[in-house]
This record gives sequence, structure tokens and C-alpha cells, in this order.
Amino acid sequence: MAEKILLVDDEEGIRRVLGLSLSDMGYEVHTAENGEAALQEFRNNRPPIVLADIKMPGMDGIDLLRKLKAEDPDTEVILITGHGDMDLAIKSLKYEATDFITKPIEDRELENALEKARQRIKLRQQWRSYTENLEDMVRQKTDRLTDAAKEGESAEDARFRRLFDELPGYVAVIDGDYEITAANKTLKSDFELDDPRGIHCYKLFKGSDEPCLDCPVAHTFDENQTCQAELKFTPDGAQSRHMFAWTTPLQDETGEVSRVMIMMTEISQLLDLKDHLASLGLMVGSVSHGIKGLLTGLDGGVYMLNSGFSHDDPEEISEGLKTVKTMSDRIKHMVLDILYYAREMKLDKQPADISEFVHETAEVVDARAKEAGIELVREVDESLENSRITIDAEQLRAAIVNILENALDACAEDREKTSHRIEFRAFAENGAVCFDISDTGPGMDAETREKIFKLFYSSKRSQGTGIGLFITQKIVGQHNGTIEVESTPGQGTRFRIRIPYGE
Amino acid sequence: MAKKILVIDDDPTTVKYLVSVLKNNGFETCEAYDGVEAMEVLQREKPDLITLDLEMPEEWGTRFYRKLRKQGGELQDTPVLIISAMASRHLSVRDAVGYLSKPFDPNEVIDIINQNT
Repeated sequence: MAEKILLVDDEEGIRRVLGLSLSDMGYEVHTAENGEAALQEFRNNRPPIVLADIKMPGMDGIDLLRKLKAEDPDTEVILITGHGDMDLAIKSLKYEATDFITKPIEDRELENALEKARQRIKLRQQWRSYTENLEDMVRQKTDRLTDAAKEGESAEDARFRRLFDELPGYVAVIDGDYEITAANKTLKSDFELDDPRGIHCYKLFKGSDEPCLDCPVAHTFDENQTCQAELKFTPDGAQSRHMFAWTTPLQDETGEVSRVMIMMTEISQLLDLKDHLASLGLMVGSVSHGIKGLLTGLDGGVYMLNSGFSHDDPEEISEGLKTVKTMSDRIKHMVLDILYYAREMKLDKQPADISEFVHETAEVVDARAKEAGIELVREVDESLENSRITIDAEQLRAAIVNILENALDACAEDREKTSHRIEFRAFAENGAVCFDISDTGPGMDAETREKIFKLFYSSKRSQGTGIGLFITQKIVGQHNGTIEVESTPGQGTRFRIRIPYGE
Repeated sequence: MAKKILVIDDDPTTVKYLVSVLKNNGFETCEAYDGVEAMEVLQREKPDLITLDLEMPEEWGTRFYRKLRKQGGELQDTPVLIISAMASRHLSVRDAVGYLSKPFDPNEVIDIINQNT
């Protein structure tokens, strides 16, 4: 496509002749006879090159040049000067005219000036495209770099976030005020918090309003060292859990500990298992020990029976028989106790008449009490007459019989007093039914009192399995009840079981 | 003259059993159910041999044994046969004439006593 050129001259002859020459050179020629017309024409056609007479009436070539340059600084303006216009020509250069040619116009001069203009245009285009390219390239590179940097950073961040979130157990970052500043997904979901930031760790984990004593986080802040600790979570309204915690100091640029990361994992089950294993170990020891004693007793009974028969000694026969019977009873008890312990107890709760329950329970041990000459008193408070409570009567009876039997054993063992009495009472108190079992036996010291609910602890030596009260406590617990014991050495013991009415 | 055996055990059934075994084999017997009682019976009866359960409460067994060996006098070296639920030898009792674990074989009891009285 032909390049546009605007020819401005007030002389029509020049416009025509020069216009023809320019057309011959391959330009699309537009003409204007004065400055105003030229500007108009320029705005309409946007010619890259303007060829203008410097001396025109009205707006002269210099003015036009300035205006054109103001409108588009890239316009190549070639001025045509007459002789003696040298000052103007120089002035025009100052205003960034491309070139000037003198009248009379020679084709070579014109071509040179036009060539110069085209070169400048071309150069400028190249330059512009190069600059644009360069800018583009720089922008692209920068973008790529920033993108890369951004992507790199965010990918890394995401990786860390994922890692942080997916870590098993709880991970939290805690600041010097014990406020949580970050927490992993598991922690958030387990504690049902979208954003635990700003919450105090002791509030969240312990339901407490103050920092904990022996806080591993505080220790890590102080010592700038990792720390391990066992913690007990007691969050508001939730079951307590045993946790194992590691803490790690997080340092700022100056090396100061600004935050502490704490990682926690639950070990409740592990502790249970540990207890269970310890119990099992104890059980093996205790049971094998107990069984040895029982077998010795059985051997003894059989030996005495044998010996009695061979000597025809009725007394020895009866002694042997009694021993065998006692031993087989004890073995039976032990086996039942162990089975009881091993079995996972599921309660079958039904409404039961409290008065009936008390009397039926007492009847279980009546015969033994009578045999031992111990008075067994039962008493149900009037307010509980015809009143019912939802319990698993079988289980709760077994639980109470354990205590009654212990009371009988304690009284039978106690030779300090001439007569003994066991009271089994039921009464209502604060929305619960209390079952009191008190005896006048030898009582227990504080140490024994602390251990009695422990599995396989027995104060009855080889005659106890150490399972009874453990089971009692378990059953009472399954009824959401409590059990407490008061005892004075030399005076007796009182157990109190409280069973809430519940559903 | 029949030899006299002191049976010390806190379990009455075991005491009865041992007494029956010993009597059937021509021994005289006396018995004690705890360490303090054992010391009294020992002084009074001057037995030829003692059977001792080490697993009585509060270490009655081992305490009695130590006291026996330290007291001086004619009874200090009375032979002791340990009859206990523990199968292995008790560390604090090194010079007993025998160690039997429950449940024991009555013949073994008699064999050991015969060899040491």
C-alpha cells in the first residue's frame, strides 16, 4: 500500500508539480494550501510524512511543524525553504524537523529528504517494536519469574500446609501469651473450631483460665529447647484424654524464640493397654499364686480324706471333706470372678422396685451371715417404699454382694469384738438412691483404703482374688453412680454407693 | 523318741494338711500361724525341724528365719524346710535343708525331713 504524504504549500503550482513527482515516487499524495487545512488533512489521513513550505500566509511552516509534532511527535516533517530562509531552517531543526529542502526543489534532494524520513520512520518502528518487544520480553520474563516465584512459593506453602494439616495428631503453634497462632486440620476438626487462632491453649485443652503448671511450651520458651511431656486434656464438657506432647522452639531472625510448636498424640489407649497388660501380668502372678494355694489345700483335703479312711478316723474324714469343699468353693469363686472380669459387661437396665432389690440382695448372703453368727440388718427408707429405679438388678446385686461378702469376711476375721453387725440401708438423696453397707469389722488403714478398688489388690491374702471390688466399681460406674468408702481402723467400714435415678 | 516338727504357715488348710502328713509318718507336730507365734512355739517346743512358708504377710516368714539364725543358743541351727508357693529359692534364705513349692508332694516332705533329723 502506498505511503501517505501530505504536501502543504500556498502555491497551487508547486502543489501540482511536486504532487505529481511524489505520486510518481509512489506516494499517496494529500495536499493542503495552508496550515489550518494541513492540520485538518493531517488529522483525517494521518500521513507519516508531511512536506510543508516554510513560508505561508497565516500559520507558517514552523508553527505547523510545532503543532504537528505536538499532535504526533513521530510525524516526519520536511520543510521547504527558499533562499535566505536559513535562519528559519535552523529554527525548524530545533523543532525537530526531519530535514529541509530548498527551492527550487531538486528531485535528488527531495528523495534524500524523503529517504531520511522513511529511514527515521523505519528506525523508529524497529526501535518501537524492539522496545515493545523488549518490554514485552521483560514483562514476560518478569511475569514468568514472578509466576515462578509465586508458584514456587505457593506450591511450597501448600506442601507445608498439607504436611502440617495431614500430620497425625495435633499440631499447634503457640506464642508467648499462650495464644494459638496456627493449628492443623486434625486439631481444628476434633475441637470443632474453624479458626482457633487467638484462643489460649490452656483454655482449649484444659478448660482452664490460667497457664498450666509444668507447661512444656513455657519450658521451651525459657530454655530454647525441645521438650517432651505427658499431658492430660480436660477440655470443657469433654472426656479427659492423655496426650504425649513434643514442643519445638521456633526462632525469629534474631534467634529469639518467638513461638513454640507443639505436637501432640493421644496415648489414652496406650495407657489403658499398659494398665491392662500390667493387670494381666498381675493376674497371671496373682492367679497362679492363688491356684497353687488352692491346689495345696485340695491336696490336703484329699490326703486327710485318704488318711481318715485308712485309719478309720471319722474326725479326719470330716476335716478332709470340709477342706475339699472349701477349696472347691474358692476355686469356683475365683474362676467366676476371673470370667466376670474378662467378660465385657453389657447392662440390661429395667425399672426395679428398690425395696425388693435390697431384700433380695441381702438374702444372697443371709446364709453365710447366719453361719458366721453375724447380724445382717437391712433397712429401706420410707420415702423409697414402692419406688422404682432403672438398673441392671443382676449386675448391681453382684456389685453389692461383693461388698456384703467383704463385710462378712472382715467381721469374721475380727476377733477383737464379741459380736458383729452389718447394716445394709437404702435411702434417697439429691436425685440418687444411696446404698450404704457398714460393718463393725476391723476397718482399714488409709493405705489399704486407697488400694481396694485396684484390680488384683486383695487384703485377704490367698483367699481373695482382688477382683471383687474392681468389678463392683465397674458396675457402679456403668450405672453412672459413685462409690465411696469410709473406714476407721478398729471400728469398721462403710461403703456408700450412689445410683442416680437417671432415665 | 518321735521327732518333733514345727509347721509354720498362715493358711490353716496347709497347716492341717502338713500336720496330717507328719503324724501319719510318725512325727510329733506343733504349729504356728505367724512369726511371733512361731518364735514362742519354737522356744517352748524346741522342734527338731521347722517347715516354713516364706510368703506370709509382712515378711513374717523371712523375718522369723533371720531371727532364728541370729538368736544364738541351741535352737539357732534348727533345720528349716521351706514350703512356699514360690518355685525358686528365696534369696534371703540360703541354708534351708530343702525348698518345696506348693502344691507339694507329701513323700518329698517326709524324705527331706528324714534326711535332716
